[in-house]
Amino acid sequence: MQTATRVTTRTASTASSSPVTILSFSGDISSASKDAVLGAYHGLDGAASHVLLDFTGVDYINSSGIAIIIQMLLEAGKAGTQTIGIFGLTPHFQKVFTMVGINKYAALHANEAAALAGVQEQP
Amino acid sequence: MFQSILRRSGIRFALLLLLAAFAASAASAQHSVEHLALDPHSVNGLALGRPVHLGARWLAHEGDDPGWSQPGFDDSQWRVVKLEVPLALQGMKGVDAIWYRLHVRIPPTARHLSLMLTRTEGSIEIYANGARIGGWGSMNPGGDRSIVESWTGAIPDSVLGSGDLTIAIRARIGNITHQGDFPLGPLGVQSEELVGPSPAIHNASSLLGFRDLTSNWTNLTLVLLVLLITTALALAVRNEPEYQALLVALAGQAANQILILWGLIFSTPITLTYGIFFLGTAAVWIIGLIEFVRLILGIRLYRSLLVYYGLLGIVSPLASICEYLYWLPHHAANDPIGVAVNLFIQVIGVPATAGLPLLALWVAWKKRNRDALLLFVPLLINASYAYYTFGLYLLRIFHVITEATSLAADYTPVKAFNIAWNEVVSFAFSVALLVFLVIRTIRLARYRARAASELQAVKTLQGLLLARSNQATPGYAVETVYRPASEVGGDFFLVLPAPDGSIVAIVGDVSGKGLLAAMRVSLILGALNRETSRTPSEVLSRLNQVLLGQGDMGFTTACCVRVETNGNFSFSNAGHLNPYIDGQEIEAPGVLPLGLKPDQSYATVTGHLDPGQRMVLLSDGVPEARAKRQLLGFDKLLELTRLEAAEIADAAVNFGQEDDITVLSVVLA
Repeated sequence: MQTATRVTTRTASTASSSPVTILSFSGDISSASKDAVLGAYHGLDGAASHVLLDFTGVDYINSSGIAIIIQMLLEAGKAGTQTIGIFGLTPHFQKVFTMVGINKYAALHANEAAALAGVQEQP
Repeated sequence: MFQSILRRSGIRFALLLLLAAFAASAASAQHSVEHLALDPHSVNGLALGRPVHLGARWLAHEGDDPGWSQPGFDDSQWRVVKLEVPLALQGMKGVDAIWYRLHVRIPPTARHLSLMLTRTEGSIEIYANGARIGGWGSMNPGGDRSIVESWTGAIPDSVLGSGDLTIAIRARIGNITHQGDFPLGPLGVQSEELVGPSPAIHNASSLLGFRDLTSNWTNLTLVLLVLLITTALALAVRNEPEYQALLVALAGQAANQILILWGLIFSTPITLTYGIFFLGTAAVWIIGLIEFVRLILGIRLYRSLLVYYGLLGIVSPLASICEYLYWLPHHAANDPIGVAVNLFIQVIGVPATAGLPLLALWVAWKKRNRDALLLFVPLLINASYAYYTFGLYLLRIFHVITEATSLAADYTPVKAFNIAWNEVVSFAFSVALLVFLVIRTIRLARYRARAASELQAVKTLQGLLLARSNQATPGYAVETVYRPASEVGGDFFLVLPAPDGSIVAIVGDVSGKGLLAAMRVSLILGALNRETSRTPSEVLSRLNQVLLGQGDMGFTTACCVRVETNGNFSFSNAGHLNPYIDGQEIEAPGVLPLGLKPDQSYATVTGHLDPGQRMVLLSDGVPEARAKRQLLGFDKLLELTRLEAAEIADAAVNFGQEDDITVLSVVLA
């Protein structure tokens, strides 16, 4: 039984006060999550240059869910104006994300602090 | 008080709680009675074998005097009033206290007589030859005019015997008669007054109740039947939320109907709880039905729709509250503010509740949506009535027709039963909804039967394709286990022999499930069977080209291994699980799955498989088997992949299969 995906958008700042937009997901991510996930991403302010995806509240991501995340990252890659980081994944899904090559499009971090620090390191 | 509103305000109530035409069905009591213009000074009741209608002419006098109850009082100078004409138009404007009297000639031997008064309004006391035989409400000045009461009472034999029966009615009507042409007075066009033998009067009373409520009962029974069928559908087809929405709507409608009937039968006084339930159930009915239409048409639940629902939730109860205030004693029927508020709410309410859903159905119908056509009929019935009553309301407030004419226009010409048009509409609506449900269910059942047959065909095709995937592999012991999570799966595997005696094994996974995934698997297996290269990275690169540009079809992961006769192996991976050898993962760099990026290259990892060692390829259905929200996980694979393919698959299935499971193992023979 899968639970619905919820997405909340918030902002944070790096130590150097750069604004960072954080999309926090919760529930399961599957094919049914497409509108919620991509809708939230498309709804972001175009000026948001640093985006973090927070998977702390996510229990399960199936292959269709991963396809949606990849689609988002490929879109961001095409636009070329955003850097995307990921944090809050369980070790299982860290491995899965690495396996499907997501780590080449978005840095994977253990937690929010590390992700914000990661943003700061980027030019 | 609410009883009165239920009865008297049915037209606008139904208009504003429009799709809930039932909500106004209580207006059934609001019919006109044909009266005879008898002489109130001496009505002939000599043939008292059956009830005698006392007629439409009564003697009336403003004021209040206990002596007016007495049979000997001289009322010869009293005015004769016509019950069908408002008191205000008969020179009795602004009356609060009023008496009515009427004389009936009866046989001196007559005994066991009863009197029946129906649909009187205001506070009333009833006297027969000076004896008080009934009454209700307050006789203080400004008594409650909102009480609508039907009453039957016995006339004591002790006051009979003279051959004359003087009936006197004392009333307080709360200064209402100055308000134009409606209401008419404590005894009015709606009321009926009969005297006769007690059994006959009781029969007449029972018949009246039956006549008043038959259509309500009929409609309630029909609503409950539709509710029962919808409940069965909602339970049987749980993945189609439209039936759940309709179930909620119909439950609201049935509860609203029951509340109305309850109010009519038991003369329930209005309480805050009753009011909240009444308004709440009506709002649930309206919003639930519109949600049902939305789901049938597959319209997304936009934020604006939520606002629309919220407004309906506010406007509907507000309309009822306005209606309630409109009928309060001090509130003038022609009060411009009252008319303006009602008009405003109706101008919003009618299109919002009836117009918009109908428009949406019409647009969908034009786009050849069959459900829209079927559902258009019941909603058109409701909407027609809404605009009919709205038209009547406009005619009334602009004085084109009188209030009494407007009330009469809300009733069918059927005289045997008191049936209002809104009840006919609710009946027709329920029948049309029932027809919609039956036709749609039959159509969906046929569609599902056809889809199941097509799915079976795909399953057979997939079985044949996968059977071909297991080609003879001399020199290798290859085991494959394939356990789809549903009828057809999105996993695939293939074992291809190479001319040099080596074998190429591929295990992959198409994202998604069902027919789309199965069709994609067929495409992939077709492409792989035509593949001439036996180099894993080339095989994946070419498959990537095949799968590119296929739109929104998700992605495909695959791991391709070549094992040579001497045990040397090489493999490439496209986002899939890595191979395991005797519980050890052979890692390869992560790469995007197939079909996403052109010119993607796939690294080659090499190694050696010793005799007796088992190489295992699997799909993510194994580590992502799930029980109680816990995944089987990668750590357990280290142990599991030491087992035979069938044991690995069984372990994952027993843990909690969520996705297709494929396990392929290779051992040098």
